[in-house]
Amino acid sequence: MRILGIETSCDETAVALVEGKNGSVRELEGLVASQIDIHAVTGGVVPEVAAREHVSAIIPLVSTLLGKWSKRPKIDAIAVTSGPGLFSSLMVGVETAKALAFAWDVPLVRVNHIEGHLYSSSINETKPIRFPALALIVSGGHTELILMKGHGSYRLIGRTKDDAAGECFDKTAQMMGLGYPGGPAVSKAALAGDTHAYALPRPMLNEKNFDFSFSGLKTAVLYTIRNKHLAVEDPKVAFDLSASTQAAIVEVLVEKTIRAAKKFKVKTLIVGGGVIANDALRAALSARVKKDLPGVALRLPQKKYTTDNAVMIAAAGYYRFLSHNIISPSKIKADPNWELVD
Amino acid sequence: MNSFALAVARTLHGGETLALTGELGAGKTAFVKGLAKALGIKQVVQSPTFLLMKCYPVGKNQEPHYAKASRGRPRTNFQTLCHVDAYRIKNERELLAIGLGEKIGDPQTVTVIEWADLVPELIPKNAIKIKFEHGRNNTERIVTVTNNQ
Repeated sequence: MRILGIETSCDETAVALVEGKNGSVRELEGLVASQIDIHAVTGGVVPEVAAREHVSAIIPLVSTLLGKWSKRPKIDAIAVTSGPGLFSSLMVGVETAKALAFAWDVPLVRVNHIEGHLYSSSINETKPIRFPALALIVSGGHTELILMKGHGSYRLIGRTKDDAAGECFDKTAQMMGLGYPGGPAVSKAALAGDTHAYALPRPMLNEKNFDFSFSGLKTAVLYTIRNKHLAVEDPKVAFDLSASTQAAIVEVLVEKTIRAAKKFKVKTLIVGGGVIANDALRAALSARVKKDLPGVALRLPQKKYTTDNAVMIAAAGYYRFLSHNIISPSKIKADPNWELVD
Repeated sequence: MNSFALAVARTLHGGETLALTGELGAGKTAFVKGLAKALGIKQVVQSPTFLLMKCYPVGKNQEPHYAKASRGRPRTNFQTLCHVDAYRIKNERELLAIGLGEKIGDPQTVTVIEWADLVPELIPKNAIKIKFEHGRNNTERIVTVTNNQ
């Protein structure tokens, strides 16, 4: 079956078409407004798309997507992110999905944005998830550990009490004058740095819960620069501080995730979110799973699916559809505070 | 920080805008967490840097911690605390586009804006300005409140 995915929860306007068959999902096409020259595509009718200008971007984007085939593909269902996120942003996707579902008379599925990240590693993957599974979703706006008993059955095990890991990368990058986006900049600088150069805390590492806290690490980096009078313009300082900061973030994420995976005796570890594109994190997770979680499958998404996109939303929608988790267009609402629970 | 936030919470009756300024790590979000706690908000207040704006219900059933100790002062009459973060904002229009204009000044809402100095045109003249600074040692903070009412 073909599912149209729509994602407008925060910055990005994204649409995608996926094919779901025999329990697996593959991407047919995916578009993100900020990544394409929508100006050229719409022949200058739509002005340059700024972040969160979902209203201007959504219809041209859907048209462009469906126009990629000489004969317009038949859509069997529509999946849309209805939360969490910004109310005004979510509304655009939800209302568009509603209208299309009515117009085309197809079933509508609402998807949770975090759930989308959870299914990002299922895109183009034929192996089914062996349950129970633990998911680490870590991005600029989210850092959560979710236990998954089956498709659609979620329990929040832990989350950040303040800053998300991705936010910590961005803000420490700013302190070091490394530019935006901070994650890739820190990651690149870290390659040439010494992870032990600066002693930084591993917040909440030894607490028995599975929550995280990164604002203390952010402040620790600031104080390291201030109290040691570090010259961050000096490349060696930036390389070393990046390496040390990245090591602290990765250690906390990996350690608590592995601990949770052991406690809940999961068969699969799923990861998703923008920070999962970080090579050091990917390598550390792979190594630790191999060493400490024998027999546990690690599902890493392809890097292009780690940032916000609609392919993952369509994928999550497929599994919701299989569970008959359909919503009536008249009942769907944008829910900015939607928590991913059963 | 929590006792300072409690003191500020006691003065709020709805419609106020708190404009927070201060560099990274100076205590802006810590203050908002304290404020939420004082207002009886049970949800964890996370940093809204990426989300930009998150609103929390200050419901009738959530007894603010100060209500009992208020000695005759009415308990909170407003319904919502909106927590905004302008750190990622390039243009004030972006915050208006996500509905901040309707929140500011709404008598049922108290709006707190972190990095308020990045969006000066959005801050009402009667906003309560709170500046956070690092102190001499790592645990010390200096907070300055300016109220033009």
